[in-house]
Amino acid sequence: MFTLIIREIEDNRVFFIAAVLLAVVFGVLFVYEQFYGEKYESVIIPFGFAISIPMAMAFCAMGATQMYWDKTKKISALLATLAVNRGQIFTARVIAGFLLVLIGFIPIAGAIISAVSKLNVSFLPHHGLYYEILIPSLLLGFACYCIGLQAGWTSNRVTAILGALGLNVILIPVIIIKGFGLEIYAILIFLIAACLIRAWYKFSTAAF
Amino acid sequence: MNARMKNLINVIATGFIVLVLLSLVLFCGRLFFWAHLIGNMPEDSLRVIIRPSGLVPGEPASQQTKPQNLSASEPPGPNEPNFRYSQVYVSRNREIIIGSAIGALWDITAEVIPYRDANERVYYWYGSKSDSYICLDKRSGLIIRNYKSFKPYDKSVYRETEFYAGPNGISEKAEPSLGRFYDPIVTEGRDPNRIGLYDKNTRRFYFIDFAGGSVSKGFQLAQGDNREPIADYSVAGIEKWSNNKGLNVSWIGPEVWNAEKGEWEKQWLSRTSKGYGFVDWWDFSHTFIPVLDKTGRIHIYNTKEQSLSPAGYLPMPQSLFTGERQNDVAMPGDVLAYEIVPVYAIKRLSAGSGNSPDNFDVKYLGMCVACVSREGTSMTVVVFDPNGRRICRGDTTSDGISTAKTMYSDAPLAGTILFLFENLQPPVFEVASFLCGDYFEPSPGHRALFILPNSFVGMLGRFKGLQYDREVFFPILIGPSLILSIWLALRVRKDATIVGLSSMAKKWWTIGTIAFGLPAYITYRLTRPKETLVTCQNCGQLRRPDMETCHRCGSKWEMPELTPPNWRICD
Amino acid sequence: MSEYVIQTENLVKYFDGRRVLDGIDLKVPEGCIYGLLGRNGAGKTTIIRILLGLEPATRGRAVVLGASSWQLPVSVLGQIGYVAEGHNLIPNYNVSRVADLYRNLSANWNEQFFRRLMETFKLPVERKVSQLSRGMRAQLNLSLAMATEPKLLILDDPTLGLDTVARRQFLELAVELISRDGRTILFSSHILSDVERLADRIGILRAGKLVVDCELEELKKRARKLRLIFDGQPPRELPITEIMAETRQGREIILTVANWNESKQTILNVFKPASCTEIPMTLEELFIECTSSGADAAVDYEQGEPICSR
Repeated sequence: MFTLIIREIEDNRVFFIAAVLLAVVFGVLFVYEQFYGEKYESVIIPFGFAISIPMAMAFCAMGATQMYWDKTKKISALLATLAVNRGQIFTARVIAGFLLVLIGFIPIAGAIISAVSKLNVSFLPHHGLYYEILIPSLLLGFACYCIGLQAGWTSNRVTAILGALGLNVILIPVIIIKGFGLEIYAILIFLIAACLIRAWYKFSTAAF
Repeated sequence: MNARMKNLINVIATGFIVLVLLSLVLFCGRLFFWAHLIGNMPEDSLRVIIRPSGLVPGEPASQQTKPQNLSASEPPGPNEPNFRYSQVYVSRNREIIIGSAIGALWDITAEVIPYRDANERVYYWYGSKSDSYICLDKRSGLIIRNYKSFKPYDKSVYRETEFYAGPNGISEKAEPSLGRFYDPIVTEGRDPNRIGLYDKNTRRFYFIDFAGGSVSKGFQLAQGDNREPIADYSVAGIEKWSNNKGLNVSWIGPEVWNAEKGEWEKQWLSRTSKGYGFVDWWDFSHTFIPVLDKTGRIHIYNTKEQSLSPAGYLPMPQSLFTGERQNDVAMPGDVLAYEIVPVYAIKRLSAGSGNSPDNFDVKYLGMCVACVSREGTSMTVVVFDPNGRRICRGDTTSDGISTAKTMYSDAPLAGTILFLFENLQPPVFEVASFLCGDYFEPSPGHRALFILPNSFVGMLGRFKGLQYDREVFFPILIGPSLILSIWLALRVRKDATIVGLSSMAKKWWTIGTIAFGLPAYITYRLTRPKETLVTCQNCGQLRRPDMETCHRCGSKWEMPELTPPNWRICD
Repeated sequence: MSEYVIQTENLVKYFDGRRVLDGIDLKVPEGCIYGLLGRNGAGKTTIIRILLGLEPATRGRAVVLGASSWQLPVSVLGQIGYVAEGHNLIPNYNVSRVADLYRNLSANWNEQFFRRLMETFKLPVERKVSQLSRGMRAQLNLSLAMATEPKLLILDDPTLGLDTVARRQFLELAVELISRDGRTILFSSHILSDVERLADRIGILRAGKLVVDCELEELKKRARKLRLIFDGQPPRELPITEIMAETRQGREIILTVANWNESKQTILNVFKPASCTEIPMTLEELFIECTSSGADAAVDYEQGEPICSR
């Protein structure tokens, strides 16, 4: 399983390198702002929110890319003849995707934490508000990735790109519409589960 | 898990994905046309003026007037008096509705104060200058008043004090002897040293004076008294009456033209002790506290006499459908926004005393109550006298027609398209909207994805008028959705026969498509078997190659009677 | 434990409404070297892909090493080595990365054997798979498959693209592998001389059916090609069943018959041919007889039209 996960990460290293770079940059800026933030205007808040949509697109693109390359390069056709089964291949793929989402979410989380902490109620411990905003945002990242898994299972590049883009554009507003309450938790968790179930069904019944 | 069960799970999963994504698309479509309708709302729907308000003794009967801007510096005309009667001026902005559709914004702004942190504290007040606060500690059940004293020119806290208040007193330590409050509703006054609260458990009012170090017990509702003060949507408070930004109720007292200054002077509080001035400041509400009940009734709590007497109610605004009884009392959950403004007459008890409420004699004159309809299309204002009798009612109308109706008739195309978008929802959700619309709070209803309480059919479901109207309009409103669903179900059934689904599967798909409409049809197209069919040797129809028998005639693949002989007679 | 490593039962496969496999009942015993033959598009690769779980069967079932082929457990997959037709390896990986993948994901990797093979074939480890020639890809694929020490080796046209020398090397390797106990090989090839050299059993696919499934020597015994010369006009029709092919030229009939036995000999003797000589057939000739389109239609070259069809 570890080999499969590493393989997925190496195959999609462009995404991971970009995410790690952004995370490192944000980490540095975040620490800097904690010490010198009062003197200078915050950078990570506008930057973090500016990259949130492209980041969501990137998560979706990762999912779509994984499935598209599998179809066109017949990766699973090779792996499935080794001592691994389809379940392991799919699980490794999803784990790699979720890992990307976690890493890519760091700058967005930094922006959210910074923004919340700058609310004009400085005395309030904001733990609850942090969680209320961070968790649905993270779930949305996972959901974007899972939507990408749906769109990418085709050997037509145009279909994969447009499908991923279109589905992602439709999905992202859900957090703006529904806010950060229990409803968004329910919608996103069930959506993630449904996407994974459907992706697994297609993967497990397809001819390689 | 067998293949059939796996397929069923796949169908359900696909259906959910389709439902969510399609609902988001439809929501955006609805919001677009809804915003267009809101933009087309007449100006008359944004303001209501009642002048005279009838709350000042000696004024003539109050009536609703045409909205007009009253300039503060324009002198009265030659035939006009040099005074203006008191008026109630209610206005709202269009964004009140669109803002409700943006849940993220709503959640963030509603959560800041009061806020529940991980330590189970509910914050009611925060002083930004002093960095002090008032909160309820849910674990101990005590109200905490935090004081911070800063050195001049130095923000670092050099003294921080906390006082804990319970039903039995105030202390600098959290002691069990103070007792505890259970689920209180706390006032939000301007004076952070004096707060009032209502304890739901003991059904008693309390007044906490942090400056004086005392807690006094107030009126207690009897056991059989079915009145139940409530918290409003965003803030748990008796006096925070407005539950939505964007609605503004002002009571403007009488004005007199001052020819020397060239302006209209308000008859506010006078610095002398002669006569009463008129205010709607809630500084003085510590004497008279408006209490909103869950049924929509408003009472006024006289803290000196310890009495709770009827003072008014939330008026039900008009909606799209006719026949609304104008005397209907709205519950807080029936309206998108409401605001209650009590009006007092105050008289300084002695000259030269400060502006503390204790230095004034306060008389309660009545109140102005405004409500915005759930759909955001109309507004109603009612003025009540001190005994809770209605003096005057004003509604938003445009040329005499309810603005709810005006809005749709002014932009019929947008209204029609909005109606059609709503009909793309599954019929089962439309029926649920009709039956359950009341159970949704108004503001979240504007950002609903599945069940739409603010849709046309939702409005009809809440309509309390004639049963006949409901029976006539319901099929009309749900008709397009049903027609679409039935048509799609027939297509699904036909295709299911072709692709060889079992009769049980066909039946469920047909029922499912009738119930869920377009999402079900899309789900079917995504999950239907994709085997290319081959011709059956027996019946000549198309059959599935992955089934042992033909789903049409039931014949197997090998049919001895159809095996050709090994000879031919040919020309 | 079944004596058969591979067993299929009424295996049917359709592609876009076209029936490719039509009720295949294949049994490959343990320790056997099975040569699967057929013309292009006969369904050889399809059977192999179904056996490996890469393709679902439309109907029927296939069992490999005791497990259903569509849900092969990891333990069984670890015992199978596979060389795909076209040598499908991930194109943008380099050789060492592919080898690492196999190394880490195989149950029984033999590093020493793999290195020996790599030295034998002299493959560049840092070059990408897409940059290798077809022959080099074949060699790499073979090396990888063999280094996993499989109990069952499935080769789909393994020598496609190999030059003569490389082919000879492969054959030697295959012989070496065969010599190890308990190994079973299923392979398909168009180079019948190789098949003849290696295979114990032969299967020939035609029109979706397995028309031949027996030992190679048995096939040679049971398929008989005869030259019959008659004194006078040869009989219009010979009432012999299972005629695979029949050509007539004047007084001569060349007849290829399946499952030749004494009763057929007796029937033939009734017609008193002047001469009846057996024409020995190589596997290639047998294959052609089994799979050519005229195999079940007797043609009268004088008349130029079919007499009957089987």
